[in-house]
Amino acid sequence: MADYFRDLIAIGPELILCGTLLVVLLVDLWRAGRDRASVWWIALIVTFVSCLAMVQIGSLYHQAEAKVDGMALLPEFLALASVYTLVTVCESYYRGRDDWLLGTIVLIGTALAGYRLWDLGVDVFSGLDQETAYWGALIEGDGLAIFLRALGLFTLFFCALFAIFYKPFLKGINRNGVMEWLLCLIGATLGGMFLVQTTNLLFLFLALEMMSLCSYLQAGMLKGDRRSAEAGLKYVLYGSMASAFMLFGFSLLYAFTGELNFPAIREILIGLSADGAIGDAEGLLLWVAILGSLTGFAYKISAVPFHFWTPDVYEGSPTPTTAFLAAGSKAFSFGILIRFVVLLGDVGYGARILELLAWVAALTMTYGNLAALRQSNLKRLFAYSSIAHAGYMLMGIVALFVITKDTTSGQLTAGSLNVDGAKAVLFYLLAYAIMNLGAFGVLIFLANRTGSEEIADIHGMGWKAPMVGGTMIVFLLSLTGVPPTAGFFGKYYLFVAAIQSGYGWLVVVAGLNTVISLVYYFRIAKALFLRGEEEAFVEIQGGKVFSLALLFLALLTIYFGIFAGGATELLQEVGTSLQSR
Amino acid sequence: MNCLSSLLSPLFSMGPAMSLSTDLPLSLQEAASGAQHVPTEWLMILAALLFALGTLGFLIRRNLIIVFMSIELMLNATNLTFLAAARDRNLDPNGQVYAIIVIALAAVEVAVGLALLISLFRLKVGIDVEDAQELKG
Amino acid sequence: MDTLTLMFLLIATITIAGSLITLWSKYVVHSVFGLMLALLGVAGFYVLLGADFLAVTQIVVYVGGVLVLYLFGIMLTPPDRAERNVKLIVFCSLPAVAGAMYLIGSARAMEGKWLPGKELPPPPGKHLIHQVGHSFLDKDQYLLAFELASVLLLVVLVGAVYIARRRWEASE
Repeated sequence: MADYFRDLIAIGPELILCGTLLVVLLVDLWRAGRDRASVWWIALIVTFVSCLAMVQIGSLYHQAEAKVDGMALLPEFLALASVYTLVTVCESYYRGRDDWLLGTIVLIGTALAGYRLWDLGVDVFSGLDQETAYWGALIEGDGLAIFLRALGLFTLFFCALFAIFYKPFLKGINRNGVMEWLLCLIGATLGGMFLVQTTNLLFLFLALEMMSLCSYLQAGMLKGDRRSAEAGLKYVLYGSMASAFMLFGFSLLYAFTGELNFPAIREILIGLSADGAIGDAEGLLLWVAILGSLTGFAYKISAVPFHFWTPDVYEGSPTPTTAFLAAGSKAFSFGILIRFVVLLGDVGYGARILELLAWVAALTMTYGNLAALRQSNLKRLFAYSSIAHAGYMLMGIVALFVITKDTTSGQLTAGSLNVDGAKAVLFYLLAYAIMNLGAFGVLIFLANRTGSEEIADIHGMGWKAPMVGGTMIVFLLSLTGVPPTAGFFGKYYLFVAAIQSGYGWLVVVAGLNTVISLVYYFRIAKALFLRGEEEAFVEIQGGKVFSLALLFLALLTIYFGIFAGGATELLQEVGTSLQSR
Repeated sequence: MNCLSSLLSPLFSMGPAMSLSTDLPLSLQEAASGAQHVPTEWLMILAALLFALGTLGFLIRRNLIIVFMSIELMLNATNLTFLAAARDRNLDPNGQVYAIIVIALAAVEVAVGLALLISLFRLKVGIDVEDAQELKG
Repeated sequence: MDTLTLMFLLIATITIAGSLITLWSKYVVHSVFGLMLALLGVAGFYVLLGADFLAVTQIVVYVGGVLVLYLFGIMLTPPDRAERNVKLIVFCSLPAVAGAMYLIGSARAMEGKWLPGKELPPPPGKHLIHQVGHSFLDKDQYLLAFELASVLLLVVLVGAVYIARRRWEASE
């Protein structure tokens, strides 16, 4: 029994998210029922049963883990009680006007999952957990996993918050789809959280598919909107193609090594290259296998040449989904990419792949920035900007290994792991998630009022809503990489890591790109503030809660732009733990 | 032919008497793990061919339903590779587990794809690739 | 030529023919039946590879489920205009065929070299399917994957049903 608990505790946050998912589903089913008076009774009974189950689990947990006291499940109790209260209150007072109920339940569940994750993180970072493989080595609960899961929960929290205020979910035919949308959002986060933990090819595929399928559905969830349906269809079409390529790569990797676990695969490949057993035929197959696998990841992070879906999907999806794709989905995919490259980067053909990735990074950031210059739709503009940022982050992935070239034979070899590369990517992911969530939040705030996402329609809006406009300026500065914002330190660490690994030319390209990006980010700022107030065609009222959330994100952006030290130390530790592999 | 009959016999047997724990006269795995079997390269080549055909279908067909079918072919090619490799490893169960997961996910993928296709069609659009052209830029 | 080789060739012909029909038929419904042939062929390979349970799963899930789904999809969408761009076919075929040939060549060269230097696990004994079942439900193997797949199915099917159904107002 005790070993079951060890493993269950390791995925506690995910279990809580699963529970939240079920609660959302059940609450919506109750509300759809005809006999609304019975809802109260059903809620009462379910709460009672859940509490009983929790007490039971709590006592077992207590027996299994001597270090846990009896109050360990208090937050869960509180959350359950507040959900119950919410449902009851909505039933009696807000009948028919309780659009915020489901979203609030998700917020509570996410906060709870975050609390559990905090517990786990304390154990991992204080060095209590030496053995971090769980569930038969399907998942690895190391520092990298903890950090990215926390980032995922952060994204989930803000996306759910945005959904509460997103106008198409409040009015018209899509009001009834909020439950399904939230389910898919939680499902995608769940898949992503498992994705960053896994070290097994089977589980990796499953988790990645879970994240992808839920994202496809989210993208196409706006009924009656042709752009949304089209976005979903394009996403699923190209996404299935990319995952088929990835799977083919995995199957060749399996055929070649006979193993599914990363460490075992690595061991075998190292043994083979030491024996010199990788000849031409084997080399080609290995090359195809690794390239195929990378296709799947490249698609998810929207790296050139697998970026083509990004603008369409970002534009057509509901804006909270776009925020999730930009902040969450990208962070998760980069997480697994780090794991993949760390494990296979210095084996066999790793050095050549890394060199290829450096070119991909340069192309990606240049293409993204150049294409963003001529966009008039804000969501499309941010889509191209997200392609560009994927290019910057790929720079950190490339910098994971120092490549040395033998001048006589032209042979490339990958040296030791450069921990700063991982640190830089992770810090950039954090900064990027915060500023992107903020930017999309501002977009939702403005689009709720103007009903449009074109740059031309936000002229002068900054004066109408100075606080929101001001936060947008912070996010834009951070996206460009101007101090004192998180984006500045993100870029700084990336550049340092790339120079350490000998990619000076890549840093020059990235520097030039930053200058280009200044142009289009400035266009947004200009539209907001440098146009006269009289050009704004709507009045702005209310939106206090939403503005506060945006202000919080802006403050976070500045906080990490000034006090980057704490986060960096943590990430340094994460990077160092990757070295053990 | 012995192989096929041993496959089908559990299906046609009456009641639980022919459950899996019964020893079949010549079980398939014995046939597969025995000395005489189809070389792995043949299967790999066939899988590569099937995968290439699927890719080709994805590239050249413009009917979205056929495009989804091409993806189906590609996933089947992958499964074939997994199973051929698993057979090489003394019928490693991992390969089979992977193949089962892939079958399940392929089915889900089709369901999602067709659902999105139908929702697009409800907005009075055709199913030609060219018809999905609202988003541009 | 022994029986096994003959069976291999027969099944390979069925599979390839089925996929060719899928790709090149003029009518979508013909494509579905071509796909059925190909999938049955692949199921035949599973039998050859000792994965009898998978062969049955393949037939039940694909032929019984997915193909019916395709037929419904065809019925619920407008008829195909059935144009095929011959130039595009030739243009795309050449690199695809070249790539396949290259891959085939290297796979051919791999003869007898799969799993180099690998210690094989013990043979599974009489009943492989027991092992597969156990590894799905064993905590130290794939239990978590199995459970995650069930959550995935729940979420995705709820979402897909919502997307595929008519607008809410119309149904009430």
